[in-house]
Amino acid sequence: MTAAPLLAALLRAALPGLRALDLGLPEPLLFPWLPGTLCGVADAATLPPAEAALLRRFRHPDGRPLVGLDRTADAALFAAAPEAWHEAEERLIRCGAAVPRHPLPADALLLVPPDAAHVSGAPTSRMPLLLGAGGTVERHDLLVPQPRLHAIHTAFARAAEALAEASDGRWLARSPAVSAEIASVSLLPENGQTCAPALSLPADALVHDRPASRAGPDGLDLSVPPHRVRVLLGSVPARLRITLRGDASGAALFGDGARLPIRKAEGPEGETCLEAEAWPRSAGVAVLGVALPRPARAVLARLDLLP
Amino acid sequence: MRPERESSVPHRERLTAFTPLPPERNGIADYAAMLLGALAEHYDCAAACDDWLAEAPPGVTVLDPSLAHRRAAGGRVLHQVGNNPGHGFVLEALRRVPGVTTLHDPGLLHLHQTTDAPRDALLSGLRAAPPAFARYADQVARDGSWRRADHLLFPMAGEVLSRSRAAVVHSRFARNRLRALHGAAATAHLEVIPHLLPPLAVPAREEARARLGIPADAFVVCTAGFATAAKRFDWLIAATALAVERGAAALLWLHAGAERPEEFPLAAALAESPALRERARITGYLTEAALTDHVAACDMLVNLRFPSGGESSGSLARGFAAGACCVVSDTGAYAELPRDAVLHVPLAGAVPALAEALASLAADPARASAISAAGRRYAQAEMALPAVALRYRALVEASRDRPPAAARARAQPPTISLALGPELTPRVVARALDGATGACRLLLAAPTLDALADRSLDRPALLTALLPPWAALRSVRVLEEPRAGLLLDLDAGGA
Repeated sequence: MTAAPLLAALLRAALPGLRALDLGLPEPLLFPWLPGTLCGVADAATLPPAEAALLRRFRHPDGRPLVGLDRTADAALFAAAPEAWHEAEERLIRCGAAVPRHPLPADALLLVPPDAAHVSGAPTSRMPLLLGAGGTVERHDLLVPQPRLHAIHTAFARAAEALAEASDGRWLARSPAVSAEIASVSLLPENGQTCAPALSLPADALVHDRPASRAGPDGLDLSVPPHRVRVLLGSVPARLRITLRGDASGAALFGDGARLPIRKAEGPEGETCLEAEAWPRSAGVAVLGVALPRPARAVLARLDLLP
Repeated sequence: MRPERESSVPHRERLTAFTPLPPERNGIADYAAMLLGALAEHYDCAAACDDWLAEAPPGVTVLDPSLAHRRAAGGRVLHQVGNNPGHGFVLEALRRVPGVTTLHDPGLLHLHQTTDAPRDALLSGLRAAPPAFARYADQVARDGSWRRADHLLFPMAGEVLSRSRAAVVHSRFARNRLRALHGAAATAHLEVIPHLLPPLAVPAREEARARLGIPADAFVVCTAGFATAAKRFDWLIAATALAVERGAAALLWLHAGAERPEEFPLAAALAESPALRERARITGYLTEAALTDHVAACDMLVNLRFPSGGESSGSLARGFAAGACCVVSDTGAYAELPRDAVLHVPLAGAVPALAEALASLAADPARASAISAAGRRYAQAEMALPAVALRYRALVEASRDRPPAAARARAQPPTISLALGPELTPRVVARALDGATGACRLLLAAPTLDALADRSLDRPALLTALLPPWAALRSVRVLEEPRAGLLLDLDAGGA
């Protein structure tokens, strides 16, 4: 169980114009739960060569590679060029355990592990986010430029209250301002439940390795050889569903490279849904493979991550 | 290395093989499927295959090769490399996940050419060429184009050898050829493991003939596999025509396989031969069962090769399994086969010798049977699949902790320094760079900058003339301190 979906909901509600970069691969937090999140690695030099080669295959929906693997492609992003961030009003960078090698944009919010310092060492305000997931509480610290703490904290507090209200009391929100430098937000379940919504991703929102076949309005065309695709999942979901349109006979799903047992269901309008359960994690970011036998005439329409 | 009779290491350790598999139309795919089926007795086997939907033997999982390194990490790894683009993903995997490599073809130029190897990488493969071939290597480097003979002169196996913990070839000929071209040190980890005998359910000859509509009293000659130029169908056509003239009236020829007209226009050649026009048939690509039927139906399997790069033949192994009388060229790996297990045809005078063999065996079926029985006994003793699998297992276990040569060579020597003067020749430079792999530096030193300028002017196209073709020049700097000279950043390949 993870608080990642709850965290994503809180960020979406608090900062509507947010664009995020999750540098925590292979342990992403915001990707894929926060739509539009870019993902990447903090330090590609620490990756085994084969793992780096795998990650270099993937492209974001806008065609750019995963962050941290191509210095040229990353330059504009780390220089805070507005177009690299899709003109976003607010930028947030999530750092996992590994310290990023690149200097980060000074005005970006940073989401870091508990008590982690700013990578530049500069003094910032700290906003611990305490989020419940089942019987545990996850803490993620948001590092905020000091002058902005009050405004950001207020936005998060309102967002937490709104989420708690929408839950009919099943979630409790608290947002104490501890000092001028520290203010926290907590969103805790009353009865140990987890916020585990389904996440439905259309093909054009997927991070995958078919850069020559960017998804169109109908989906990702798998009729062009090699009739398969690898989709970056982030973490292994409890269940997932792939929706294919067209002739999906013989289609197979692969979890981290190994074939998965699947349940197949015919849907409306020529759709076929393939469902699979979670698989044992391997070292590295979770990857879903979809393959069709030749001659393939199908389009990948959607990926659903299910609780 | 002596094969063990029983496993003496814990069972069910993980083995990850990077290999094509059926239904890929590739003899190595068939080989790998059979081998993995036998290795599954000893290991928890998975096959990383570019075709994720490939057919693996029972108990063997198929993996996406781009993710298979996660399973392979710290475990046993086996690579199957052949000289065709279907093995490009295996070569890529070998660069990241070292293991034991089976070199089915000692020459890999076609593989490198068809898998988008950059020009520098191809040229760096020329460094293994013996001095006698140096001028041909220079010609390739200058022209940028390859000729047919280059596939024999430049095997391009150095990278595979240096990245493998151990390597398997199927004959002493292949091992000796690689040793001659790459040196004893680079090939010390080569092991000869014969091609395996396919565990086929072979029908009786009469049963197979009945299914194929072949008369029971026909003398059937079979060739199998892709019809390539090196299989010398020109000799077989001439010899068969001669044999028919000499009275082998019941002779029929089945080619159990597909044509490659761009390599040898077999159908056209047969149509032009009055003696063979009505006696010979090309089946096209066959399923496993149909191929077995055709080989089982024949009296004689002809498997010629010239020139030979040291390859072994899956078709020949199938012929042994089917109890066919096998006829081979007396060259390469085939020359190693026992004289009583096969019929050897000399290279000089091949056509008359082959015609004599065809005619005499057609007239004396008992002799053909005796040869085929001896061939089957030999194959069962030396090529049986369980024994081959045990030999692989022994090699995998023995080499597990042996770092590949490429990993051992990663510590680069300091800058190599040579005095730039009249005595500096291409041979001196090549000798100085011998042993360097990957990125390295060469300083061509002069007493002063003025002296450097003078010596450069004295020798036009200095660097092109001095550098060996396998050393790619990345950058040049003129140094004044601490020593005047040209500092060259090179890629010596082989990394």
